[in-house]
Amino acid sequence: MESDRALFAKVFLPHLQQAYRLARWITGNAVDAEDIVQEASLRAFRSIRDCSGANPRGWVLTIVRNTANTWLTRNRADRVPVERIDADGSVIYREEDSDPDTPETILLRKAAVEEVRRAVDALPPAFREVIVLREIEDLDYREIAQIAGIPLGTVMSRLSRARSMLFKALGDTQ
Amino acid sequence: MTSPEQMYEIDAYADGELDAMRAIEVERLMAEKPELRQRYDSILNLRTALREAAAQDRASDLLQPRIERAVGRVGPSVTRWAALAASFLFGILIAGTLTWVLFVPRGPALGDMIVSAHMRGLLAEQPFDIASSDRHTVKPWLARKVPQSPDVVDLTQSGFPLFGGRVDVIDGNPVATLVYGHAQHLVSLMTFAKPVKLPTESTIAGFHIRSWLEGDLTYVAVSDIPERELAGFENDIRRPTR
Repeated sequence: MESDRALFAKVFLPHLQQAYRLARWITGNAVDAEDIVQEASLRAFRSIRDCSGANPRGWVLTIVRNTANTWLTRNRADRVPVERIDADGSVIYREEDSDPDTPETILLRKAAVEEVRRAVDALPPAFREVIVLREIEDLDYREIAQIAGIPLGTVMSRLSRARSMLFKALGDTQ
Repeated sequence: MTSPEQMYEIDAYADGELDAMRAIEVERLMAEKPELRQRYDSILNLRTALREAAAQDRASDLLQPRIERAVGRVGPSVTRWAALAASFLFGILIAGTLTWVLFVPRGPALGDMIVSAHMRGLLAEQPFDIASSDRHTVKPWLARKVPQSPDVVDLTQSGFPLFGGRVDVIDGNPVATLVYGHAQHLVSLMTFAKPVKLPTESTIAGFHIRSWLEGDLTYVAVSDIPERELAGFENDIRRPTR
């Protein structure tokens, strides 16, 4: 039987950069992202036997996502006004708070990197994580649903809404 | 006017989530409605912009060795814990009585979460979010972060200088934690607004835990200092408010 540490090296370490990117974009904090990944690695190590092996990347990213959300509760409670974080770390968001947006006349201009970061950072966390998981981590809807712990339909609606918000923040309406 | 359902279809098409039949349907729809086509183009532009922005994000090369070290440090205590659990199990077999079952640890309990939070403090670059030996700095900082803020007592005289404070998240709730030093060790003192289910003294994975009630608040001290010294810490911290 493989030792816990060998299993950890096989399951967690290959996804380190992806884990870092996820933490970095969910929190908007490049410095603390490394601490979050480290904390997530310890959580992962302690429950390494729970990893079924079917989808180690999804398992790792779920732990990182939950750790990053805990960080948000601690450090950015002031910035999550319309939602709260559940006991298990999942974000509860009331969908009716988001008014449907019309996508007309949206022309994305070439936004500077910093502008893109700021726009993503300004999204409510529940929307931020789906766009980050989709576009930056390149995961499909099913994986996003698993990691964020939400139904597929919610993935679609949040993703669509997150995009509309980003178009508005970054786009030229002229 | 575009319905949200049509928008979802465009998004799903751009995300490669549609089967061939529906994809053809969406392409036909986009040819008819320029605003849908525009959304599709915008999605692709946004994707490029996001991926370009993220391309430069890399964890430092030091992160992996740091994690390997941290995991290495956790290793022994986990093994000790497993050995302890094994000896409990052995005890059950030997004693053959049901009373033993009462002592068997159950699942990831509050005590484990408290020890984890303390360990996280030990493994971080700094065990506190605010570094200050001045209780008049630490208390207002904590009061801004958490609903229940503890009395901050200076125990330098007793050999427990105040190092700072941090906010832990225990069972989903933010908790004010004071960090004291003692020789080369740290003591975390957490404050709970609700009564917590903890024995007054316990030991988990080599860390001793003491908890007591003070007014409406439950205080929990956790550290790897000897049990007797942690009892002394509790004594000292309770004295001024008596």
